[in-house]
Amino acid sequence: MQVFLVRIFLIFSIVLITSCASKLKKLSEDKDIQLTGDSGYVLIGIDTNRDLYKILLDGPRRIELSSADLAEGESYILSQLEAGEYSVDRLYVSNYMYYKFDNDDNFRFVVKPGTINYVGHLNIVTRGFWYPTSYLRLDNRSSQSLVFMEDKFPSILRSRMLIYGGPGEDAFYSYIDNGKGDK
Amino acid sequence: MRILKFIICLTITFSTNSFSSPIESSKLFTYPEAFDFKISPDGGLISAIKQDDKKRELLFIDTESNLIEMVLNIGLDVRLLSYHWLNDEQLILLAQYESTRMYLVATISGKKVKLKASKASGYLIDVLSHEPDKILFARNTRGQYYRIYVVSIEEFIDNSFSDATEVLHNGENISRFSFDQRSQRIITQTYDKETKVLSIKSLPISGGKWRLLLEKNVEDIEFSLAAILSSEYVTVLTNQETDKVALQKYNIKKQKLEEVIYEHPKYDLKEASYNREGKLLSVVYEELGLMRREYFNPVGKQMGKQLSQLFPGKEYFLVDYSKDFSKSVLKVQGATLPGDYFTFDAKRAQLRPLLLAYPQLENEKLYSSKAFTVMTSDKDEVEAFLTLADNELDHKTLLVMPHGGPIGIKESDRYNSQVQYFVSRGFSVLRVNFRGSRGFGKKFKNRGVGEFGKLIERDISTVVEQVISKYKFDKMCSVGASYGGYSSVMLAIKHPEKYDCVVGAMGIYDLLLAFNHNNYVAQEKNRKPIENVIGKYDPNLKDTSPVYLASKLKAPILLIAGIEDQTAVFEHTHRLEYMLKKNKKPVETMYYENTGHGHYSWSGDRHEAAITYDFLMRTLNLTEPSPKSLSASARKAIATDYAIIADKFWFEDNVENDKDKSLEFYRKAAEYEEPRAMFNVGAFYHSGDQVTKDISKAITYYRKAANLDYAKAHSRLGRMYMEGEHLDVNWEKAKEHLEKALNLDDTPENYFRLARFDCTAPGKMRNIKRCLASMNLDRFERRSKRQFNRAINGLRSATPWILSETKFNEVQREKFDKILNMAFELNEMDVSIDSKRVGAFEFIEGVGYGVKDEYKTISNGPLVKHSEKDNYYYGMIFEVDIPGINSYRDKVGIAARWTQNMKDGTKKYPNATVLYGAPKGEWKLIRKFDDFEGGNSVTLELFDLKGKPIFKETFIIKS
Repeated sequence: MQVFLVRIFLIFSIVLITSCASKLKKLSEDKDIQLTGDSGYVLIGIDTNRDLYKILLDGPRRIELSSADLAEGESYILSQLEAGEYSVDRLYVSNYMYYKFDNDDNFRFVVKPGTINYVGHLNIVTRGFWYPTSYLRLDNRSSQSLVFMEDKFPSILRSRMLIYGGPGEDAFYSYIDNGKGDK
Repeated sequence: MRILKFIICLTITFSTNSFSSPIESSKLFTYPEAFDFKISPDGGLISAIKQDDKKRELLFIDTESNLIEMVLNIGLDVRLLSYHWLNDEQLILLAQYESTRMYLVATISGKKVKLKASKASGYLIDVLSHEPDKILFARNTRGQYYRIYVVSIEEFIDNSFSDATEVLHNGENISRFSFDQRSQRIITQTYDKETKVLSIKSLPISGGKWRLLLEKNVEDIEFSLAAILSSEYVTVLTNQETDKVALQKYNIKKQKLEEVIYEHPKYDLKEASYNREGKLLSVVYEELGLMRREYFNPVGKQMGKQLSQLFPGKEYFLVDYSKDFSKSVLKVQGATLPGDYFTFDAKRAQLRPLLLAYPQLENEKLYSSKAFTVMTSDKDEVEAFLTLADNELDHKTLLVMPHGGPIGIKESDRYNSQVQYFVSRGFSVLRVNFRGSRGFGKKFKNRGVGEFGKLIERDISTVVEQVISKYKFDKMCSVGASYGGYSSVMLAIKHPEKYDCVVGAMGIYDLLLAFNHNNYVAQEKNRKPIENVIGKYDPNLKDTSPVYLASKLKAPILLIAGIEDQTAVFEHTHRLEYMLKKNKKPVETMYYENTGHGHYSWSGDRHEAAITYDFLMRTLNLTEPSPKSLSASARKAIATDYAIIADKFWFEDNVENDKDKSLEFYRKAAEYEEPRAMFNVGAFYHSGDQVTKDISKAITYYRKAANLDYAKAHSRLGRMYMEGEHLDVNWEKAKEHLEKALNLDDTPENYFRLARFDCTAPGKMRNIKRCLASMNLDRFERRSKRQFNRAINGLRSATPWILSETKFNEVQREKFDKILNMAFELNEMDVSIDSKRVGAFEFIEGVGYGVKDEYKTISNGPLVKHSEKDNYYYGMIFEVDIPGINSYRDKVGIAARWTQNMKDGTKKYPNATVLYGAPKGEWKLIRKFDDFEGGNSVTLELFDLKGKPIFKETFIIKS
């Protein structure tokens, strides 16, 4: 097996070009909301060894994960999001330095309407101070995310189907949902 | 035959006493003490690296007297990456200090070794044995570009290459070179990961052009250069046209394989040796887990026969030899011998023992394996190794241990620390080279591909059936790591009636997830390496994935995983744990943070072995050996296992803390008379953590540990007598304990605690001369950087006491100042404080990018309200003020001592330290409220490092 270093483009910039991105609003209450038309829940895991400035996602809408949700350690963002295919576009290590993601590296996920879409854990390891280098992966931690939902959002979990929307295929949630695990 | 003389020497070597008992894990899971043996060109000296916890040395042993002639102390801070003899008086060493690598030339003169560093950047290609004063060196010029020189040793030391012979001007993209002595050619080998093409070129050392020796697509085959025979032919070890890796002739001009020179009917070749004339001397393969060398010349055959008779059941090989082959170093190893080195004198036909790789195991009983083969139902032969626990602890339990991989890995009959650990604790171990293992040919290896949970487990079960039909076992468990973890679970799922427990470490348990565990592996283009092992992606892999078969597992299971594992990602283990719990199956877990697919240090392996042992004993309801029935070393082995488990549950390391479990395991270790565990149980009673505080019990445990010569217990008792903490002040007893502590363990902490005693004891007991001598920092700097840092911490604890209670004369004061300056690199000792905040504070952690931590003042003044909150503190936050000194490069220091004033009039001293650093920003002297034990008040005193009091405040803590 391999350890992957992501191919990234390190760009210095002082130009703010993200003003059109809307911030992803993190849900805190375990109450199933009336999902508007073509939208679903998105569950994103973040695992970073350093506080980050922001992450931009491209998709039906341009989305920003802000610094409040990108603190050092492991955390989750559960939010409502318009259905469609998204990709991770940029990671801002600080307010003046960002990485542009290589689309060949499959930093993509799908949100389906009416469901809870676990789309993976953005695992970011950053080393160095003046010229930081980041190692990035979109990990599948489905069972750990399921435990998070059972623990923090049991009501929403009961109301909606949890599906995997991250890179690749995963039969785990559908297996659980079919109740086979209870036998 | 003269060679029979060997036997006399060896009888002595192997006639050591052996005790049948559990072997302490620190003796098994550790690096060898002696390694990297080499011999000087004239055969006069043998060199070897020797290291333990306290030193690292390069030894020089006289081959005539067999005695250590010289020792070069390398120190623990420096790693010796490699070294070579240049000539009979000089060696070249590649050393690393922190991240800096440097070549050093060691010159032997008389019985002394002098070192000279070279500033040359690059790497040594060869020591050119035919030119003893020169080396072949690849000099780094621009980034990845190298120039190759034949350079004299003196010029190399001076980094002056102007007179050196340049063999190659521009190494371009070629990154590594080697040198073939026989053909006198520089060799370079490249492998293109994209095209899978291996390319080997050669260049005469006399100069000229690179010549292509071979270029070949080596995807899915073995292919390596064995020897350059002529300008037309090389020989290679390959299995391109044969099932087994064979020795084959290769036509350079035609770039084509020609006749097979040697192919073993059962095993892949590992090595082929030629003499200087290009005649094949021997080939090497692995038979029943040990290396076998087949010789083709009469002398070699005779020698091989003699050595096989001398070392039955072991493998042996020449590590290095003198220029005329008259003297050499021989290494012998096997299941019961992790490595024994000998000097072989060919002229005298004499073999003399040199050093053991693991001398700590010399008096331990190690267990040999029964190596055997079993025929599978489809007529393939698989090798297996059974190590029986034929000792008094025999639990009549078989541990089936599938190996990792599973493709291209194999078990051997060499020393195996894990096997010896469990067998010495009474568990028999079975290991199988199932199909998929390497060394048995292409077909055998490829037969295992995609056979997860199928043929591989059938092979293992075939061997298990044979073993249990011959030997009687009451219980059986499967234990394995990586693929072995998967296999262990699958064996128990497939044969629930046979397995009583399972231990799966760092395994993959959802075969579909292996193709999808992150955005990279989920891409089609990256699937080949996984397919080469698991087979093609297929939804039916669910049928052989433990995650989806969890309901069928009957045996209790211990799951072990590294949270940072990138090979068998943690999600595999977490999924299986989730499904087992969902199915209400008995499952225990041990998850290691900051750990990947294996442990980064031996302490992790020791801990994993200990928790597995504990799991087996509890789950199988086995009777623990009574401490009285065991020898002292056996007691220590079991006790250490429990203490290691307790440590991980207690200390802030990579295992989730559980203080109750920690105490439970320290108690178990204490039952086996482990003095450190006794001390720690005493510390629980002392602090009141997890137990009702009981000073009398604490002191009893401390005394028990001290009676067993545990240095820290003496040190603790010495401090308590010195400070009057729960014991009446008794300077005589304090002295006795502190001196004993230092005698038992000369740690920096024990030196500085005794120094504090010597500088502050009353009357004639005061011994300032010894106090200052004990604080000599040079002693610790010589040992290692870590020891020096620990010494600074010791000095920080002792200094406030010394400053407040010792009156030095001028000479003594000067010596003490010198020690303080060496430790803290001070610019100024006359310090005052400014902008102080005295009171209670709340710590607010800054969460998120750019948000700073903050200590918010809750109340001002020394009257503070007690708080249970974990982030509440009391004390002083201040700035230091030194006129004219205010930059980040400056360093100043302040000594501080906290005194707790108890209700009965006694005092406790929870902390004394020196704060030091740049006189910028805020300095903090704060304490948590939970440290306050209901005394009347707490006093904080500050001194400058000349001893002048600069601040004193008594905090009254209201409930």
